[in-house]
Amino acid sequence: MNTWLPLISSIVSFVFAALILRRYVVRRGLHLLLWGIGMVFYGIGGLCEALFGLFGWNAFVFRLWYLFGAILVAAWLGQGTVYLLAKRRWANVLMALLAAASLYAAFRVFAAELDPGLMTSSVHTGSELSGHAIVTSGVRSLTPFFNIYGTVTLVGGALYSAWIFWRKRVLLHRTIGNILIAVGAILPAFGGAFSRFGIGGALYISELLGAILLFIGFLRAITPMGEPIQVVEDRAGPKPMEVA
Amino acid sequence: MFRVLFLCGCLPTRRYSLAQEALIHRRSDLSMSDPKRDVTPKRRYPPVYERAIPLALGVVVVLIVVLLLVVVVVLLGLFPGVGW
Repeated sequence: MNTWLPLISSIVSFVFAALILRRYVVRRGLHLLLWGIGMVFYGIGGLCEALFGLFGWNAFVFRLWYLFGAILVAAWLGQGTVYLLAKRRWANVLMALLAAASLYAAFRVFAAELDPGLMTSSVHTGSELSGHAIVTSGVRSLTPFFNIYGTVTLVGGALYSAWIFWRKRVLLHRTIGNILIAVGAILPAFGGAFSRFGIGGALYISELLGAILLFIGFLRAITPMGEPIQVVEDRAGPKPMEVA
Repeated sequence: MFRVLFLCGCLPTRRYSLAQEALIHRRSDLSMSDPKRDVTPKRRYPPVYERAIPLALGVVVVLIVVLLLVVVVVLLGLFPGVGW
């Protein structure tokens, strides 16, 4: 299970990333590029988990997993949403900060001292990859900053969009798609939290479900539905109208 | 306007109010037939989505609050062995 689940999430993520990047090539838009990069990071994280499940401990694979899968993925996906919703100037400033912070995180992760034996201590079983293997202080404390930024922007942006569409009662497919994206984005965060409390398998299952929901949400959001949206006048009776 | 003043002067209070209401209704009836009337069309999703979407939004907001609480608890080190 600790091999196949992350392998499937990795495949789903790479396919999803290819779809987004192909859309970026056709339509442009920095949000698509950043989402595509974010999903590549998601795929790398899953692949590293699968490799750990197949072949056991490898320091390089662990560092890749921690950098892309644990630190960067949420923040880069969230940055895509920032480009979609915020003013370009603010988005550029935040992008510059994120790029600098990502380089710093990469340096810290690849310079960190590791001890895989620590993954079996504490509440962890060692069957899944865990940041407990990092000995050097100040590395693991980077993750909440990236993940809180990523969760707030990605989940918050999706919720905000869904709320706006719902209030105006327009573009039902985008309302549903954004809700699915919000749920898909928050699931791995919960999986990470459950994993910290020693619930085995929670991280990998939540990552797989998260990737699937993000994918379905994105497809839903870009595919108009044939559902009718009713236009009701206050005094007159309901008059259904096909909008999509 | 003339009719309102006339009714005010001639009719008892109760009948005046009824007549005034009738006039108001008549005006509103007239305004109903006005194409520029201020009746805002209200768009609606299909009923199942009208119920499900606010529920789903609420659930996600609750999940976010729970997650943030978990993060705070872990950051404060209230659970031994799970901190950063």
